[in-house]
Amino acid sequence: MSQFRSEAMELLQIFMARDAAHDTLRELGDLGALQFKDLNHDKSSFNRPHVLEVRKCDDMLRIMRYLSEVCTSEKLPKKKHISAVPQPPHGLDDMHERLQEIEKEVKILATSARDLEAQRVEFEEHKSVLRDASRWLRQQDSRSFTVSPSANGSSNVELKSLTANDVLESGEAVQKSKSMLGYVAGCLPTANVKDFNRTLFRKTRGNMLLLHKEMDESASAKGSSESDSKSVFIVFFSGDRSKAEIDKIAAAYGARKYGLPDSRPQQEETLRQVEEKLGDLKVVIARTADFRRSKLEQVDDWLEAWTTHVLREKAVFHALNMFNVDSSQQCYIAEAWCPVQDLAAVREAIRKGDRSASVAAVVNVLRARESPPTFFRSTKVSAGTQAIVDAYGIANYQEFNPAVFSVVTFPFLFGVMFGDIGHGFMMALAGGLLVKYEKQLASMASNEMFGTVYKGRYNLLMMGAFATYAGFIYNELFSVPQEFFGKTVWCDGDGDPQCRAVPGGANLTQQKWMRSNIADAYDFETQTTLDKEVSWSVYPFGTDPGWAHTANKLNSVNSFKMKFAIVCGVAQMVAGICCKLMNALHFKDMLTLYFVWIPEIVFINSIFGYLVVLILIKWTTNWDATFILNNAEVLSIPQRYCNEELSNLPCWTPPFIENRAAVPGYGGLLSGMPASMWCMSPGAATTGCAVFKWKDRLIVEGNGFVDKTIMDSKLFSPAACQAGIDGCSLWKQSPPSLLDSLIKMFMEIGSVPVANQIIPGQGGLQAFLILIAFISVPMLLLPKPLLLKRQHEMRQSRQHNHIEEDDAPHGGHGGHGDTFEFGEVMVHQMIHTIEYVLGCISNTASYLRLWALSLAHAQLSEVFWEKTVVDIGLQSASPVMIFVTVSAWACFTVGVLMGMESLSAFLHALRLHWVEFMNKFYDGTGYRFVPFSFGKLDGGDID
Amino acid sequence: AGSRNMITFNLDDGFAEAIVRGYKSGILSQADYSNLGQCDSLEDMRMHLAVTDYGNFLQNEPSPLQTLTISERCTEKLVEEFNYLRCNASAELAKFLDYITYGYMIDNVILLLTGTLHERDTRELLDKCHPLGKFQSLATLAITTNAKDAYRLVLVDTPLAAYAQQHFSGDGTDFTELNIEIIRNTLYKAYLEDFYSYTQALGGATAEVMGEILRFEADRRAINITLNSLGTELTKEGRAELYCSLGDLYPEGIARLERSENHDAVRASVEPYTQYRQLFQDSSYSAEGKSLEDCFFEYEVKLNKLAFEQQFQYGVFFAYVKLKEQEVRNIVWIAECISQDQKARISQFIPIW
Repeated sequence: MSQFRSEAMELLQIFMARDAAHDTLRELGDLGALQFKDLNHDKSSFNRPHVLEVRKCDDMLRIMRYLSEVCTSEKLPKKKHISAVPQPPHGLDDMHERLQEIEKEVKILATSARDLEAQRVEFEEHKSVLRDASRWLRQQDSRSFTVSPSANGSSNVELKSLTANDVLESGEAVQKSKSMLGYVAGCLPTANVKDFNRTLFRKTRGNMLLLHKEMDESASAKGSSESDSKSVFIVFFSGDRSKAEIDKIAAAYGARKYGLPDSRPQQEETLRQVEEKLGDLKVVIARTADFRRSKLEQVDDWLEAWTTHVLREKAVFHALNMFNVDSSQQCYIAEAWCPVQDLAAVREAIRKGDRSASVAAVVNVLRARESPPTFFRSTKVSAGTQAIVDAYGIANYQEFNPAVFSVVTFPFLFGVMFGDIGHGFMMALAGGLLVKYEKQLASMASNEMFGTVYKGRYNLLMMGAFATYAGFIYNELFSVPQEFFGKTVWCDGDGDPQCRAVPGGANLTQQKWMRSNIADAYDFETQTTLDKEVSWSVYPFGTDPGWAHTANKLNSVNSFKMKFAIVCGVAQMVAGICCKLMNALHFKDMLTLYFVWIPEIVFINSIFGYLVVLILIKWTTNWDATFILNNAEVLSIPQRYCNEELSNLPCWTPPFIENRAAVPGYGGLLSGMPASMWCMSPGAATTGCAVFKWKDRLIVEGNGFVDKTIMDSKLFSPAACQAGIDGCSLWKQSPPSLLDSLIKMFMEIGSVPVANQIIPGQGGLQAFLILIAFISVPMLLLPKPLLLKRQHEMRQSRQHNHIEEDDAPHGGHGGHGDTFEFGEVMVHQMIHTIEYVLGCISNTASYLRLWALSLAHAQLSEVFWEKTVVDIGLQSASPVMIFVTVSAWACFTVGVLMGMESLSAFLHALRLHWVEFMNKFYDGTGYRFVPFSFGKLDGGDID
Repeated sequence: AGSRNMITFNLDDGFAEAIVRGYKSGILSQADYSNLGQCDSLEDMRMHLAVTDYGNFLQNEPSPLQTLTISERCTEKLVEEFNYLRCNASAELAKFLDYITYGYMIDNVILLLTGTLHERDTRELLDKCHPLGKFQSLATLAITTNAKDAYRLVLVDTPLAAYAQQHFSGDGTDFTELNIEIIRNTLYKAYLEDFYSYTQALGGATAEVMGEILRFEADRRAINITLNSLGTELTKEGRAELYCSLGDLYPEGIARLERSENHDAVRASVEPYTQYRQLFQDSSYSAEGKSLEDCFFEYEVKLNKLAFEQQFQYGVFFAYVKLKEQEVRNIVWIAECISQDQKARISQFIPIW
């Protein structure tokens, strides 16, 4: 029963010795069955007793985050199972110190690695500079210098003129002009090159040349991204004065300068030295990296376990921060909610944690003044639905839990809207796979998108299953009807002796024919009845596939789905109101039971319950039932029976007006006829079913004669009947229009048009139902507030008397929380009444979305199928086109139907539950039970 | 056209406005401040800030915490939010947001120029620059020695070029303390006038709200320039060139300020303008020794708060940045008071909500 109502809770008061509190809480955290009340909620977070410990834990967590970051960046090998994780040091301070030491060590290692790396980068850069820049220098020397694409245009012109001069002059002049041309070489971030160039150009007024080249990967620092790649550059300029300025500009752009000797041998010598140093450095780097790795591997071994440990410690101190300390400073006083079922386990855990204590802990059960938290032990199947309900509001303590119904009704309503064998099966398959591999997939549930689907996997499975079922009822596999349960029962009449239909007077070829057992019901040889009802063949399960491509398919399907939506809706709403009854009984709220629940249930049933009854009668009556009589029998039905006095025009004789068997003179013959069949006079316009003779056979006609005047009055006149001429028509009632019935129920109280009458005494019944519906409105509105007011007054007068009788002061109790505002209660009840009465109508109409959505779904999938595969693909008869159109259809099916349409059906099912169902009884103003539990800390799933 | 009418505003800027209003509700309340005021150490502050909208933005900072770290992280958060808004802004709003950053750019330019004049390290100066006003070639300013250079080498490529153009291009004299101050004020003057005309061109509620805020800003600058230039070598004519041609004081009040030669004259010249008269009175009669500057800040906060009273306008973005900046100043003030054990002065910040 724990699913129907949230678990019974007790408020515990726990006294525990200070020295044992920590261990006790560790035990309780493992158990996870207590929700501590914050007894210090007036204190800000940093004024609490254990703020220091919490802070220490925070700092340890920070260190461990840092360590795990370092370990991740080091890309340590995947951990094999470690047999012996070093136990974390006992005591918070020791552990903190230990961690701080480790942090310091790792930091020193990291710093030295960074320094070494920086040095390496510097050497690499110097190497590149020596290599590239000296080449540029030589190029210039050998005058094979060409225009660099990167250089600014005007600078080239000037430089060319400079170098052109060199060419003309003698060797010494070259030397001289070269010495005039200073240069600076170095490295700077590639991103800055453009601006650097521009600034240089502006500063030197174009008297410079910048050559640059991006360095290859190996030279850049490890772990650096694309954006901070570096470039080697060399700037040539004239004039000594510019040198200082260029140095400054280079520094401003984050450039590092490197020495570049003038002569070639010197350059090569330096290059050799640099490479040598680089080689040495690389060895050092590799060694330190190895050392660091082995160190970090050690850290990595225990890091996770220690993190869990610290997280738990932190949780314990958070909990301790919520406790009071007694006046002697010896023990903590905690208050906690505990499910009654877990009481024993909690006591056991406290006893275990208490071993080290000087004084044993004491557990008292308090009487709670406020409402306890709500706790459902959801199973993994019901958790998804419970989450849907909780999203609306957490149930009040011990309130009836709508999730119990919703586990089934939610997928059911979804299935009604999403009914298609193919789509439903795909969804069920997806859900089924998630369920099958739930253990393997659990780790991925932290992803928000996937997690949502994962948590609703059972809902998905159920929704798919119900949609498949509804698909069988609608007989649609991707909108194509299937012959799973045999061929259509309609036939074309040729060569099939069972095919006994007659065209309804219209075009013969368009008529659908049906099989009937007329041959068994009537002996055509002797023209005598065999006392059997003629029945038409009915498709054994779901919709007849013969409906495909018929013009009136929608009329037929809509009529069914619409009525079905109403039946579902009223059933669910009545169930909702009955949940209110359950609540009233459980909380012993008799006032609500008598003056809210009874008027409500009477109101809805007298109107909509009655409508559902009419629908069910209409559905279960065989309106095509036909009984074949021979002429003599037909003749023996008295025309007198078709009397205007007995009913309205046209001459109907509702058989229930009198006991037909008792009609004198017919020897019970009339009672043998089906209830809905009677004789009727010719010349009247009606709809119905005729039995007449045609080509030597008696033929039974279906409901095809809408507003047709009975033809051939010669043949079927009463005189002809009486004279024994072949042929007399027997008419049966057409199905009543329920819409018309319901409207006339209010507009013409007390009378029912004969064409709509299906229950004896229907007029009186309807009048009665309307009467009690109207009475129930004031019953809902007035008694409850008035009775509440009287109760309040009585209580007050009692209190008054009590005080007069007994003058002694009586503590502080009595009177508190006794504010009663009649106006408010009255207004509240008025709102409730209006909402309920209007809601019954609008909510019933709202359930029609079941019909609308399922219609939309069917039509969409039919359009996708017909307009792509059938109309284009199969028409063209080319494999390529078929492939293309089938792919397009598959995309539409997955994207539009499985994606959007399923979401829409889900949302509407959600709305029907939240609004139409739950507003009948659900309060949903409780709060959730959040136990102090280590399980949740570790990221483990609650179930 | 988004900002100009209420019907279409949300087409372009509805999202950004919703975001900024969400950010606004994260601004610390009076209750937060009073809690912060009770802190005994920066660790306590970290703990309390963790329950506000700042969240665990300090969680990876090792203890002991520094005031500087707090201020950097707070500013970082502001910049992050600003950049998010900027990324989601329509063209007009993006331009508006860019205008906000120009003010910070000017401050950074001046910071660098002054720093270089005093031969500070460029890296250090760059660290001190407000991140909203950083631009690529900022560091290059350190190599310029006069306004002409600064314009020709650096500013010409920045959005500030238009503001710097007329005053910078001809001036080849080396930087001094005074002319940097003049540069600051001319840049700011041009910036304010440009920003003002942009907001007025946007029209609608934006023009109304931003007009009020920017007019106050212009007036405040005018009053401050006058007060600060008393007794310096700046001539009256030089001073006159620095006043913005907008604001409530403009033109009569400005004309009077121009002629003022002492504090009393300044006070007398703003006497007819009730809001400023009130501020002057507040500052001189305040028991806690509030400076005129503090009163200006308070008034600015008030104006910025009022910006949130109107919907469908850009003023909220400007106001949010300014309020958040004030909040960062407040947090830093409280942190300083705590770390220097000056708890008596802790309440001298400017509360926002």
